[in-house]
Amino acid sequence: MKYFWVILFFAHFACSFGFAEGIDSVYNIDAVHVTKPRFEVLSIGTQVQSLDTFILRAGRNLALPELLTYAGLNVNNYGPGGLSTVSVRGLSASHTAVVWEEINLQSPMNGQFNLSVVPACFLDNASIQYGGSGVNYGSGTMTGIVHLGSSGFIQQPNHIWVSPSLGSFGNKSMGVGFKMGNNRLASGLKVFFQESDNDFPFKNTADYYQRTIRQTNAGMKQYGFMPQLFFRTSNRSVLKASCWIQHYGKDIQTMMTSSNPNLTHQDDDNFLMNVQWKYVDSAVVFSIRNAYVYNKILYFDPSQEATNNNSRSYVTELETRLWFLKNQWIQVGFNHTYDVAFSEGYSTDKPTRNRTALFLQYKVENIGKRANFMIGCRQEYVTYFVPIVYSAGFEYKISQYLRFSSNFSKNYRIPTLNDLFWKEDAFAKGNPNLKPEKGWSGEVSLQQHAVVWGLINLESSQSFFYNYISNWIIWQPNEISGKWQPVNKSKGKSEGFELKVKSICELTNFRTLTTVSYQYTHARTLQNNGVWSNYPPDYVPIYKANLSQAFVYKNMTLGYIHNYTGVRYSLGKRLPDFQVADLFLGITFNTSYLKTNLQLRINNLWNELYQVRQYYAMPMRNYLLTLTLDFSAKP
Amino acid sequence: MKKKSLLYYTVFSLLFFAACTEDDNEKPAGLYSNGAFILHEGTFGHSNATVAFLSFSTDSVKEDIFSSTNGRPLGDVLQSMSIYKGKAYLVVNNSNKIEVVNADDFKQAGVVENLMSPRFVAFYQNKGYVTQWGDGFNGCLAIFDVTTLKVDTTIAIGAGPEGIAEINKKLWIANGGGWGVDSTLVIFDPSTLKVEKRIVVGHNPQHMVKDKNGYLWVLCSGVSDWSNSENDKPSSLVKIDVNSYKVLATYTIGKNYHPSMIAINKDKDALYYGAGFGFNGIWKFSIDATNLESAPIIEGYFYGFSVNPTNGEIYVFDAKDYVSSGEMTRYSASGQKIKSYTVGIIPKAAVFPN
Repeated sequence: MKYFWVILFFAHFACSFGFAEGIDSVYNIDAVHVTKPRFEVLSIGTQVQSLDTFILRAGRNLALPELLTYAGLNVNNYGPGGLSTVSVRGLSASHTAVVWEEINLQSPMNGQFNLSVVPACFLDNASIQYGGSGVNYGSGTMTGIVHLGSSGFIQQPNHIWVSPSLGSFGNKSMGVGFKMGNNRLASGLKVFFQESDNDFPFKNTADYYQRTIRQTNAGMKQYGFMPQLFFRTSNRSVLKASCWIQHYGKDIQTMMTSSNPNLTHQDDDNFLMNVQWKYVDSAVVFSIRNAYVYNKILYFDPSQEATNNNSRSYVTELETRLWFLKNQWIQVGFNHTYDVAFSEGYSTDKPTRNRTALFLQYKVENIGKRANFMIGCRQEYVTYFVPIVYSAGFEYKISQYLRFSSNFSKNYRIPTLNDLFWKEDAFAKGNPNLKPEKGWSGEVSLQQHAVVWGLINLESSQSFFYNYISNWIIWQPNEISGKWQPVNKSKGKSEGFELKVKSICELTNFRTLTTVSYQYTHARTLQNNGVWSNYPPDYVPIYKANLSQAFVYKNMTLGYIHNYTGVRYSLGKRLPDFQVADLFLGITFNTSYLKTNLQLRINNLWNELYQVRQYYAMPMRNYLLTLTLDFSAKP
Repeated sequence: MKKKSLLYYTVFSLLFFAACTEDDNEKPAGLYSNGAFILHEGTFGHSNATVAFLSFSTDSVKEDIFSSTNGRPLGDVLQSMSIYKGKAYLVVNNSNKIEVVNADDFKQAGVVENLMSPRFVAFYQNKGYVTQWGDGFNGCLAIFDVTTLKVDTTIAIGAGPEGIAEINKKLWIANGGGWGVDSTLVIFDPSTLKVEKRIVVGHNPQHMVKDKNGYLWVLCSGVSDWSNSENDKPSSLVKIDVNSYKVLATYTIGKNYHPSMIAINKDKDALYYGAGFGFNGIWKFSIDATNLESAPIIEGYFYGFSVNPTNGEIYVFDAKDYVSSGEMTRYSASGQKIKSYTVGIIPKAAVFPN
């Protein structure tokens, strides 16, 4: 463990001096991204980190929170498979959006999204965009965005795949999928099922007897379907349609401090539909997106009646991009979202909300063959005009090895339906007079890229960032009645430094992939007494680091992933740092029509005793065996 | 002569031990003898309940003495603490257990497990009697042996049993309603393990104290209807004869006012009541008075309060924002402010070992 920091130090400096041979002049400063999703086109000046293919494939039968942990993100989960949220660059989970195929999945009820419902095998790509993006994605994108993509199946050959796995603590899963068609019409289907008892043994350090006991009430069961359609309506236009049906049932894990097993359970049901049509020619790009997002949460507690909360959102978005010079374009967009929700906790039967936004972006590319520049603004109307937000981004290629980028963005988050409409009872009350949160984010970065000895492709980046939020909505008890009520009272800020290094080495039969990331975050919130807190918001680590190393030799793969999470705080109490590592071994057999991959994962390799959320036990060393069979129509 | 000495010694010893009743708990004489234990509920679901100690000699607060002594957390929502024969019994409501420690040094000594939303505990003849909410509507009494710390018996009592006290060899339990409503006091006979009698008092009785004349005073917090305050049921003080079980008097506090705690002064001739959501002040009531006072002796909205039985000082607790440090303030028996202290998350009550 102690050499982890040594490796991190040298891995960074090995590439940052740029001693390698230069890259040729045709290298495009955006070439690290072969395909360009919308968010990459618009994210000038911000850092975008794509999950490597080997992580996605190696973690096919895992869930999204585990993949994001491998990418070095701060993921909060209540035990394995438990409810999970992510926060980028400190502050809260409601300030980091989760976007699927350009549709924001944050619940209109609580402003968050449970990442545990997302099986990794439904994703063809996943990226993390750091920094605010209020202009491009609207409310709730104040410190970062997790982008999920599942339409990459179009680029795959026709095939059928089956992937069963078996693991510790009753973990079993099955993923099945196919894609068929041609360049004009293609369809696909992904199906996934998983269940796990999660009855792992652990030493209960909160127990008087310090017993080693089995975890109770931590089981989960989920299944999902994702049919997809791709239709090239003309030589210049495509239609993509995806449907995502997901059920996720989780027993809420018993805390270590409780002497009785917890008896509560939660079901998350999601039904998402996304239809997009895009027209592209040399002068114009026109896109229209329609989405339906349904989320239902059923919470069961034997001592109370089950609570039912559900919401529906109807989203329509249109964008027109006009190239008016060879390297300049202007884009005009319109978004309308209609939210409707139901909860027994609401004062209104079915509160609804219409949100309409206009946005405008202007981009100049390849200025002097070195720079990109972009500005934008957005105006949203709810029942009032949200203050206009704007952004500016800049990228400049200093040399063939070195690039500079910078971004500034004003952002906002409108109150959730829970904040506005919670009915008054003995303990709580909503506040229909809330204003939107507002804030801004800024960052400056340096990126390096070089090819060493013609073999090693090195990328490195260093970023400094700052986020500020005011009118932060917090629930606090009224001084007189004691009832909890949301108010625009607090402020928050986070600043820090990020370092990322990636190297890929390719030889004839041998390949290595190394990624290293490090984050330092100094985050604070303003307390009720008007004084900034002495510690970060709950569960925001001051330091975080990640190392991923993979070796591929002929048909064998060996991978090692090591995560370090630094000191955190929970309600002012200091929580210790911890490190967790995973190892996986894979072997692949290929014939003309069939690829077979067998992989063994050893999670928590060093058998560490740790907790992500305080007093929610995590499993010690455990195993997962996965077999993947991929049948292609053509060799 | 030797026989006479032996007789005197025997008589003296018998007199000495006879003077010790079930009510005379052994008083801690170690690290935590000269001061007050400050109980903090902690934030629900975070398992950050704590006990602090206010030292009278240094006039300073030592935080979190359970975790610092025993190297592990106390649990989720500390509801109450009682001291019996040198042991402190910490009732941890949402962890469904009672942690047992030595009262003089707070070193852990055992745990009573598998309870169901426990609230308060009283003791009689080496048995502990724990009020439990259960599912919040069907409460019960759990009885455990203080030597083995195992629960022997569980008996259905009523909705939301709350305060409990041993009086005249019987256990008196206030059924506070829990998530519903109740209006009864239960008198439980520990020798037969049966409910001997139920007395109807005011709406949602919470706690009780005994005055110098031997009468029992019960605080009933009333009922809040959050959708329509017109449907509220009033809070009240009820005076009971513990021998005849008769309700002697009822003093209505207010229809829309719902205090949650009651305490008695040093001389046991005046009550204090107050604390709870939306209830302003700590009010004093003389046991000989015929009407309630028109103003509190301490103004303010408090989450809890306690009275030092030795000097009569009143300790009030302000939970502030319920997620960070609260505040404790000492007042004299007449309501003069003495000093404030920063304490832990959601302070509720003080327990005085001496």
